Amino acid sequence: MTRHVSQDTVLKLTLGLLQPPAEQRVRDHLRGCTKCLGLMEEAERTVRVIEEITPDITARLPVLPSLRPARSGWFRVAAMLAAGFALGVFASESLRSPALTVVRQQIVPAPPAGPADGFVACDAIDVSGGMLWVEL
Amino acid sequence: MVPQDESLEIAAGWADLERARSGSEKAWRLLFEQYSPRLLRMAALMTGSTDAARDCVQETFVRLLSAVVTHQRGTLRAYLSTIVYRLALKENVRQGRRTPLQAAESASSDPSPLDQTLVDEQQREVARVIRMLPGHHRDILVLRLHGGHSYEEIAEITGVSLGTVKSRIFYAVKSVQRELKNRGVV
Repeated sequence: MTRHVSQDTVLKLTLGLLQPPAEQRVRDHLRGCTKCLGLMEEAERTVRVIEEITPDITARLPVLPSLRPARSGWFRVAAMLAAGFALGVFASESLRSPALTVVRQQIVPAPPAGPADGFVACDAIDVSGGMLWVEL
Repeated sequence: MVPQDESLEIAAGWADLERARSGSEKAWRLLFEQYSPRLLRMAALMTGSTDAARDCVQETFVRLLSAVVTHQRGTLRAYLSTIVYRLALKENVRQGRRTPLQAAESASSDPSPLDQTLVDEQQREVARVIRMLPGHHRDILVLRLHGGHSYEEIAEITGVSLGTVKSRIFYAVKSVQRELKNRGVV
């Protein structure tokens, strides 16, 4: 009878981690050794209970994403930039202080009023020769 | 050399995806129905929350539509698992960044922790033990025993060496076995 195999070796066999010559040696031993066969069953049971975990996920299934023509990365970047620019313009317009309305109005000079108190009306002023002549 | 069954699966999966991406609603629905239950189960065990798992799977299919697949070496199943695995990693990092108070509030208000979806007490116990494993051990265990991936595929999905994958699955199952024995489950 060959030597017993370790628990680690049995676990490696269960997980398919042994190289073919070693695997064959262990399998040969297991055929005639109930003690080591017990270790093998224990390792297999462990793997089975791990595999059996089945979360009930039916209530939380993801939604099928809509099928649309695949876009390249550049297209998406450009679309995001355009959207960002549009959003920025909109935001800046909204945040700006209330717009000033400029009303263009033609200013028509008022007709000359009559002379103020203490003055007399004259038709022309002649400043020739350095003297001021007022023609009444 | 790739076995014939596997090469058939590889070709069929990518062909289905091409049909879906060219506008076939039926092909798209079939892909979703075929792959989403397994992905959802994996994501739930990796994140510990069915809500987070649903988000991961939803996002996986959104990405699948727009992804530029440059090679079709492996199976579509492995490709999808890779996306779910990365999203679950990101989700776990996000959860880990929360302050203890935020985490406690979230735990008490989360209506859908994994526990509530397991009707059997033994399954709840096993799920708790799996959640206690370090993340890099837990994810490989889930990819192997719930995703049904080969060790080579897991090495591709996780980006670690084949030897590391084998070592991690061994220590993960060994830890679970020891803990389940202590709790009288096996």
